[in-house]
Amino acid sequence: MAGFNSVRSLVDSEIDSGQSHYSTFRKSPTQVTTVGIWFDLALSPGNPAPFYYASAPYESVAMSRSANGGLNHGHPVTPSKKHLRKMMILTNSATPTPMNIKVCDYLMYYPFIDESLDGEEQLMINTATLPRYTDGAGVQMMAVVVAGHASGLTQTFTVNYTNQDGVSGRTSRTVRLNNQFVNGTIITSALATADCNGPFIPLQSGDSGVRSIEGLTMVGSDVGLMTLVLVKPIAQLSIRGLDAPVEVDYLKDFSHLPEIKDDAYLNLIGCPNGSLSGVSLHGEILTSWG
Amino acid sequence: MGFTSMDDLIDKVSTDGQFKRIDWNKLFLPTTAAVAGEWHCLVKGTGEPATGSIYNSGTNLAFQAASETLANSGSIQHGGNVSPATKHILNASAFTAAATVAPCILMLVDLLGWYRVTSVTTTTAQATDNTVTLPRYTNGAGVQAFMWNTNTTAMGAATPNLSLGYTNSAGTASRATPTTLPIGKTAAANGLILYSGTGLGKYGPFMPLQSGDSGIRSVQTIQNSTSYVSGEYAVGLCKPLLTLPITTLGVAAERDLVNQLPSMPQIVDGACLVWLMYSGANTPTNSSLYGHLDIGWS
Repeated sequence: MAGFNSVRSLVDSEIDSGQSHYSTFRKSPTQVTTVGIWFDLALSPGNPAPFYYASAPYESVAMSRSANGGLNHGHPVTPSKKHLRKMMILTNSATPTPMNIKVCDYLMYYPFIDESLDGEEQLMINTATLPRYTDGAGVQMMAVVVAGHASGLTQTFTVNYTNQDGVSGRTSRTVRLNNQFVNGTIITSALATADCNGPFIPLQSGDSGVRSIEGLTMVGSDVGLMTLVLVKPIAQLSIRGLDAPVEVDYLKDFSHLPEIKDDAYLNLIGCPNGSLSGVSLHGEILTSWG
Repeated sequence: MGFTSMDDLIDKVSTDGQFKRIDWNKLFLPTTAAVAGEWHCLVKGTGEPATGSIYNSGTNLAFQAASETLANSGSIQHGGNVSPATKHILNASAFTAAATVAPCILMLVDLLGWYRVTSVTTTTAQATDNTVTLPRYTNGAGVQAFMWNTNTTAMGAATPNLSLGYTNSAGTASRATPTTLPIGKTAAANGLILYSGTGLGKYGPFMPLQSGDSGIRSVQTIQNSTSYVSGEYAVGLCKPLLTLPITTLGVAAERDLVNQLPSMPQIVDGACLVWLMYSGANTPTNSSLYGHLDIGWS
């Protein structure tokens, strides 16, 4: 059976069979960010190379490690199962700390949604379907700035989607565009602002995930474009300060080894306590399979 | 053998004296500053242990085994063989006296051997000589490959794709580096792991393996897709043992390896212990690094 059935099997896989993969990453955002607004580090320079969600407007595109890059967690391992074993991250600047970080499996995106169309539902084109977590359970939506708006806090929108049970016509809660305009901003997050929440768009009551997005309706008009990204959050860690790396052993520290699906596109989103401009984030990712 | 319990560990290292503290210091490579995001093999840096100068000698494309006792290997001297006992790292630390070195990550590896490549203008897959085989971890499980400039002089001006044909740890031959291939840096300096850095085709620190593989038993072919013009490099095979992230000038990165999981990495008899380094900042030449290893055996 794939996976680890004991601590011993994990250790044997890593030590005796060498079934682990180690890689480093480096993200160097250039964007000026503000406290409490989540930011998508997939758009930041470094290694892995940035990814800009550039393709035909409204048309869904599936994401994968082999096609799009992301954190290098190693090759597919089926029939084994791969798990996130350890992560480390550190920074060269105290400015953005403390900073919560989520590791997400980026599944699919809908690019270049227009923020100028007041009251008119913009329909998505579902050419691609979810490549992993195909029923949508636990899959979340995040709205990422890809061309900045001009006047924040004046617009809201809702998303029409199909939930994890395949029920269509579901409507997200109303969310508000924040007042941070740089590319990579998760546009619905902000501190102490009505209708702004965490990184993900709140779903209709009773839903636990998103299988596909059918449309988005803006209320209010402005310039700007956003991309809706479907992600599966798989792990979390927090940088507390400049003077110590954050090291997480997901077995010892969380008693849970997040699974990484074959060919998953992994990247990070973060909620800084200050600007990320000119900050370097360095880290390690260790995966194991068995 | 090995420690059978915490009591046994305490007894061995205290009562029986089966314990050794090894202090080391290493200067970053002497010829060219590192760029943030790059990995280097520090074996040719000066310090204690002394410079490892052997890696640009020997027959082109032939595998040569490395060990603690190999002259000019640059290995940390960890006290010789202890078989039938087994030797383990209990604690480790590293720190720097230069603010320009932090942040960085140090990785301790057992360098098992290397293929010297002097025919760097050849663009076809070059067959290797595997008369000598892996001296440790002989099935190749967990053994990784890295390609680095072993010369004082830089590589030529070129950015070739780099690839290996190898036999994996299950003994399956004709395995290959998958796409996207690692890309060598132009004018790669002394010690640089050629394909490390930032951008497409950059990996760190090890060559990617074919899907399903977890290690390399031997390398059959080595290829740079275009001429590297001049210089030479080596393909090293190693077993990673531990990593130490340094964040700040003067603050020691300390690792208690007894309480981690898996715990107490083993130093196999003959292990050639050398450091690889990831630069989080542009690292000046000859930057100083210090640290220690506590080891015990039973």
